[in-house]
Amino acid sequence: MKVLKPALMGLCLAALLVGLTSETEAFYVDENKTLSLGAKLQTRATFRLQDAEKNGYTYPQDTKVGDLVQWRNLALIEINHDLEELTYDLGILWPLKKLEIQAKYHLVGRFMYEALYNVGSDGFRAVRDKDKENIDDFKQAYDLWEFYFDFSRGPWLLRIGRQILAWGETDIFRLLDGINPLDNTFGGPFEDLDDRRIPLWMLRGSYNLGNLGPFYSLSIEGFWVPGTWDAKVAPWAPFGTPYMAPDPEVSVYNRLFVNPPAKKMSNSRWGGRLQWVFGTDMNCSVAHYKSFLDVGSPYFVVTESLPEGTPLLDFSALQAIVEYPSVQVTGGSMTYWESKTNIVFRGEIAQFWDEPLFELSQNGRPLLADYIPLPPAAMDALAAFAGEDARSFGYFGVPLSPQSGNIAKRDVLRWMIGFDKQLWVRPLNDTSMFFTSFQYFGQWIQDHRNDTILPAVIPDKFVPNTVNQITGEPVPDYLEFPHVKETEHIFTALITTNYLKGSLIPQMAAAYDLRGVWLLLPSINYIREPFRFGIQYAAIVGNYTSFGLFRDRDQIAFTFAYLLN
Amino acid sequence: MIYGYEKEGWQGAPWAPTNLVWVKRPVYVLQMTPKDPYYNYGTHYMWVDAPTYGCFFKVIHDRAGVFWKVFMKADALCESDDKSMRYIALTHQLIIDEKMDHATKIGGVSPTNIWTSFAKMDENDFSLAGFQKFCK
Repeated sequence: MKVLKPALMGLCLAALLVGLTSETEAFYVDENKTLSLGAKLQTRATFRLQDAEKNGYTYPQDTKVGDLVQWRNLALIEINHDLEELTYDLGILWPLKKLEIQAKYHLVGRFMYEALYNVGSDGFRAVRDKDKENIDDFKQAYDLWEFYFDFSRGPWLLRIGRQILAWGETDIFRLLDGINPLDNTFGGPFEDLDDRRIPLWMLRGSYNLGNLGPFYSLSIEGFWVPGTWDAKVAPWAPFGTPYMAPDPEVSVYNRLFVNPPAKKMSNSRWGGRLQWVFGTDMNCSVAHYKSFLDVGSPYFVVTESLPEGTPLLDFSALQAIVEYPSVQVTGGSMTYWESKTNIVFRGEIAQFWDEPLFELSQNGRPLLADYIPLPPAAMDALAAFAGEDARSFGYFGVPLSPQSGNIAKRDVLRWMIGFDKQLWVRPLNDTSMFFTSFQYFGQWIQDHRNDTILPAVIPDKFVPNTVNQITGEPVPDYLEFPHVKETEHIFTALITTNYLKGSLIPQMAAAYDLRGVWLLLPSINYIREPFRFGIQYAAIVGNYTSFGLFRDRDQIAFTFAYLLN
Repeated sequence: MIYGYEKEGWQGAPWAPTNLVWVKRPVYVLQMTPKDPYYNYGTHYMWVDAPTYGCFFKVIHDRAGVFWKVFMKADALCESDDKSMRYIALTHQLIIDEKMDHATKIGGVSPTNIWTSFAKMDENDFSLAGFQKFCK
């Protein structure tokens, strides 16, 4: 019955909204058209198109081709209300009228229900059975997703409430657009960036400074997310869920403790931006802000304080802590439309100050400790007894006074150069143009160390010449990681057009990491108002680094949506 | 403007403007041929009023050079009572497709078609900061 409740609510909601209108015009509640209602009802079923990698860290490990990995149901109810008319009728709003302040509010309620853990394979049901409370909390949500008031007068604008603020000019990957956290738990790299942003309770204001010499439309903007209001960061996908980051269960997840930022004023996000138009065709901005990265920063600690030369007998004292240190970012962006070629050029650069990284010598310091060697038979017995093998972490014996690690921090410079162009490809489409977009992303870690890694263990690696004689199993090697080089480079491309007067929209998006990873996202959407139908194939091929960590999770997603707007 | 279908006893084409007054004006006549080979229009000619650069009349051929369409429009010169504001209003447009034997008329602002704008404009809305008011 508990399972049916959300589904029943969804059906009732759908019936109510479908009954409201069958057209895609805005639905206004009042005669003066100041209060509008919109909605989006969406259901998406996603199927895995490859088996989980052998000896890999994608769970459940018996996931097969054709297995359902997502059945996500989403309802968004949107209300927009311009309060200007009400200022004449409601006495409480009289100050707004007197001060000539325009006011409106925007509200989005979100209802989400993931049915996978009830109707999916035995493996996914087992994930829920094993961690019922956590998964039940993860699979459904009822949120006041966005809710803010706008107050404006002349050059001033103040927006107060739960909102999304996206700066910068990049698509797919973020540089200056790092203010709101991303929810990567329901689609990860396969999901559109706009659908992943999580709103924050925020104060945001802007002021139009007007023209100054060759600079037009100069405007200044600032935001503040008081840490006592909201210190939310990107959520951590529970173990066994389809889009969790791959890592060994026993040796990592079982000793992993995630510490999100506490709600306190020192964890406030804040920032400012100056924008202007240069000449007639170039938009520019410079910005500085403080925020939190989406990926937490793990490091290993030893919970026991061990004097020099003391062996670590309790292996459970070795723990992995994930924290979210704040990061400050300084950068700028530009777009320029070149009229002769009809190309929009985009650029962005951002310096991340003291960005947390994973360097083995710092974050993994306990793993580098000396040890008192033990004979293989003793190690085999200990491993069979404890359920995990210390040799996986490089200890061929008892570790000697390992010391806690810390989070390494380096300055990182990132940049993007891109361009967009509309062009005709008449043999393929003689009625609509193709939109093409290309981006190059670069990254330079300053004062880079060679032991900088992505903290994700490479699957199917074993300690050489080591087999546990009791269990007969080879010993997995958890010290093989993808390295992060001093400079990294990614290219992205997107091409899309439309047929049948805009009803049929094919799209091809791709990304290529120079380290040898491809991400391919072909999709096709069909619109028959007020409905949307979509099919998206997602594939990752190549080496185990950056988005290649998800290389054994190719999938096909079918989406059906109803829009009231 | 009174069209044929609006005039009692009219025997001509129903789309024909019956009270449109043509006056002699200095004009440029531009001959234009699309560069895009997929564009359906061929050569077309446009009459441009020399003092105002307003385009009032156009003759369109298809790519084979066969006469296809005529476009014409009428403007009205408007003035406020206190003469503090003057502007040119687009009052009528007419496109006649000879191949389809079909015409389309578009009625703009005129003494018989009065438009009222309730929009409240603020110069600040047309700035980078102002656009954000209209963004989510």
